This record gives sequence, C-alpha cells and structure tokens, in this order.
Amino acid sequence: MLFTYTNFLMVAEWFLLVFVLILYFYSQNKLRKIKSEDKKIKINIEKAKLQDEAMLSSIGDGVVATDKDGAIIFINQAAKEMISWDDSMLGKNLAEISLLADETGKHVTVEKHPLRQALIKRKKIVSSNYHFVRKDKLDLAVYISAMPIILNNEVLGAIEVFRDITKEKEIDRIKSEFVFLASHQLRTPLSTINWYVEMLMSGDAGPINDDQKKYLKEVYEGNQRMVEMVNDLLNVSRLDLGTLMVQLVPVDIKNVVEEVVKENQVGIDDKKMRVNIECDEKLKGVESDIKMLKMLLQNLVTNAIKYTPENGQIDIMIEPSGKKDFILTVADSGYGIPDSAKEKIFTKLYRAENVMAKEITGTGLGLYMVKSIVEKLQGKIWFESEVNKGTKFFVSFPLKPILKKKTIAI
Amino acid sequence: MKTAKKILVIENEKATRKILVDKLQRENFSVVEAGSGQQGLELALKEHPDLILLDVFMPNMNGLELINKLHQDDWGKQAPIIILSNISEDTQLMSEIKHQNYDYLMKTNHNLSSVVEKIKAKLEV
Repeated sequence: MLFTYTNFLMVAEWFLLVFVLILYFYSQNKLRKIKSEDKKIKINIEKAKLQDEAMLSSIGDGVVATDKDGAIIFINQAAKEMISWDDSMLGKNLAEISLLADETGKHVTVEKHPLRQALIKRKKIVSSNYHFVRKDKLDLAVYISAMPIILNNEVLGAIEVFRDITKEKEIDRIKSEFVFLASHQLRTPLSTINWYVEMLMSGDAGPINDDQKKYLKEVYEGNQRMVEMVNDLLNVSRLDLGTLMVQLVPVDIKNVVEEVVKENQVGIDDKKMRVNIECDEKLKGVESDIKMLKMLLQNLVTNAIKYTPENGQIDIMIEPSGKKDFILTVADSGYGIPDSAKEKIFTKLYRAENVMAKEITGTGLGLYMVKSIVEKLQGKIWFESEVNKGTKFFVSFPLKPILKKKTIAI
Repeated sequence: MKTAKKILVIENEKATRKILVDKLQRENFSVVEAGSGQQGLELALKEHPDLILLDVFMPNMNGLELINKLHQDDWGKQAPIIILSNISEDTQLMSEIKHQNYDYLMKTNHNLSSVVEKIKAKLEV
C-alpha cells in the first residue's frame, strides 16, 4: 500500500513536472508570439507613420504645422520649395521667421499670422491677402487657410495650408486694369461727341434748320444711350470682379433718396409724374455703402420713370422692419412686369417683352446690378407687379450689414 | 472793360481740347492750351492762368503728377484747378486726386454748357 502511495506520489510529481514544463514552454511560446506581434505592430505603426508623412509631404500645396506654442514641427516638401525653407526651420518659432507680408508689403506681426490666429481663436482662419517674402526676395502671393489641431478639446497646435495664387492675382489685376482703361477710353470719345453735337445744336457754329436739329437730337440721344451702356457695363464688371469694395458708413437714407430723385428731376418733369417720398422718422442708425446704395436707387428710380406712362406716380417708402432691418420700397403706376418675365427680370441682359414692344430703350443690366448690390450689402429683394397697374420693388437691408470679408479675423 | 480771365486747358485728347478751347473763346475767355502734362505744367508756371482745366489720364505726366509738381511752386500751391475726367471715382488715381480737394467734373455727366457754368461760378464772372 505504502509502495503504491509512494509510487503514486512519484507519478504525480512527474505529471506535475511535465505540466510545469508544458506551462513553461507554452508561456515562452506565447511570450515569443506576443513579442513578435509587438514587433509587427511596431513595424506597422512605423510604416503607417512613414506613409502619413509621405502623404503629407507629397501634398501639392504647402503645409506647415506648429505645436501649441507656435514652434514649427512639420514642413512639407511643397512648402519648402514655395518659400525656400529647409528643415533648419523646424523647432523655430514663427516669431523668429516672420516671412509673411500684407498687400502693402508690410510684414505681418506674429500675432496676426493666420497660424497664430487659429491657435488663439480656435477656429479656421482664411486669407488671400498675404504673400510670403522669400530669401531670394521674390514675393509669392498665397491663399492661406489655418486650422487649430484639436484633440479631446485640447489645442495641440495648428496647421496651415497655402497655395500659390500669383496667377489668379495677376489675372485679377489685368481685369481691373482693363475695366479702368475701358472706362476712360470709351467715355472720352463719347463725351466729345456729345459736346460737339451740343455746340451744333446751340447754333454756335452757325444756324441750323429744324430737320438738322431733329437729326442732331437723335445723334445726341443715341450717344447718351451709349454713355449709359458703357457706365452700366463698367459698373456690372466692377461688381462682378469685386473691384467695387463695400465701404460702410452711417447713411442718411432719406437724403440719399432725395438726391437720386433730384438727379432724375428732368425725366420726372418731362413725363409730368408725381413722386412721393416717405421716410419713417423712427428709422435711425442705418449703415451702408453710399455709392452702391445710390447706384441701386438710381436704377430702381429710372426704371420706375421709364416704365410708367405720363402722369404716373412713384412712391418711395423707407421704414424699419423688426429691430435689425429696414425696407425700401419703390412703387410705380406703370406698365408692370408680365408673369412670363417675372422669373427672369434679374438676369443679365434680359428685357421684358411688353416694354421692348413699346420701344423703350434699356440695357438689360439695371436690375442685374440692383440684385448684385443687394447681395453685396447682405439684403433681400422681391417685387409685386401687375400688368398696366404698376410694380412695387421691395429691398430689405440690415441696419448694420456684417460683411463677409476675404480675410476673417485679421 | 475788364481784361478777360485766362484759362489754361490741359487735355491730351485733341478733339476734346479743341472744343473746350472753342467754347471758352466764344464765352470771351482768354484761352491757353496744352496737349500734354509736361507742356501744361510749363505753361501754368509761365502764364499763371486764372483757372486750369485739367484732364487726369494723360500719358507721361498724369493730372496727379502735374498737381504734385505744381505744389512745389508758391503760385502753383494755390492755383485754381477744375479737374475734368472720365475716370471712375473709385479708382486709385481718382481717390488720390479727390484727396486734393479740387473741383471735379465727370465729362460724360456734364454737357458743355454746364462745364462753362461751373467755370464761371469758380471764376465769379
């Protein structure tokens, strides 16, 4: 029995030993596996990292990233080439290498640098008004967008992407130059023609008969239409190109309306029309761009005169709407806009058939301009019209428009 | 009889200059004309006219450059000028000109008789 027991113990010991050994080898094996997997993961992470870096580096636009203090931690290949930087810039603070200048050539302070602004304001900053001043002194106009890098609500740094817009800037410049030249070169002969015809009609160069006078009047009026057309086209291209900058100033809106009506007094008197101007006294604190507002009113008022028969009436009302807006209404008792034309009247060069049939001249640019001004000043425009009863144009503007600038927060 | 007021017309466009000269002579002004900014500057300093009608957009020396040159002269600083132009008011050149506080007329917005009226008002004749 004793033997059996001892024997049993030995066998058990053996089993235990074998078991421990198996366990040992198993765990060793496991450990090795884990180690090798760990290595694999490490390799994979390394690979992914390299891949990410390669991707960032290969982006065609310039990419620069900083840590939360503004020290540069990454520059991609495109950025290095575009602003002739190298890796020696890594770790340096933007403060040390302020290479950005604004449109006037003034260096942009570190605080105003889009990257810095993105860090401070914790939002996207976009600008197309800056250029990099490179080592070789060649300027590079850029479109910059800077974003804070946020992880778990903590700002880790900021990343900036920039694109070379030298070509776009150049095209803009050429377009503006063309508009400028066209404005001068087209108007000069037109004003000269006007003056010579005027001189002939006045009899300064000798007497003229009634027929001659009638024909000269046609020449004069035709030329005058050309002047209007040139002015309209230039204003439209300026609006389209954005060379007409919005400048907000406090505006006495009633005064502006009265001025525009006064400028059209001849046309109003010719057609024996009545004009009422009503301005709500409660309306105060209007801010707008005087030039654009005048251009808008000029178009609405001349349309009202043009498209209303003799002895008609024009009512212009200005009143507050809610606490933040005001509404300008120009109503006439004229020919009206037919239903078929209602959708198209703001389209460039479009003219309604009922007024074309009446041979009323126009460029088809007026309401397009009006619409474009309304958009620039953050307003809305709509109308009510009935054929042969009249048309009412409503324009609503914020008392203080908040403009979408090319540059945000800078 | 009062002596006729002397007006200097500086305008590079011949047709425009000729009609201004013609009209002003009919209105009994004594008129001197210049077809370029440089010539206009010389004549202004030599003749000291009662009024200068000045075009803005001229090759070589434009209206603004001429005004700046005139300002270096004691008489020129106070020279009465009416600017006649066709350049839109929102251009760089015009905004600089407007800073100078001179009377400004847009040619296409004024007929000849209203230009003459403005001149007479300025000269108080």
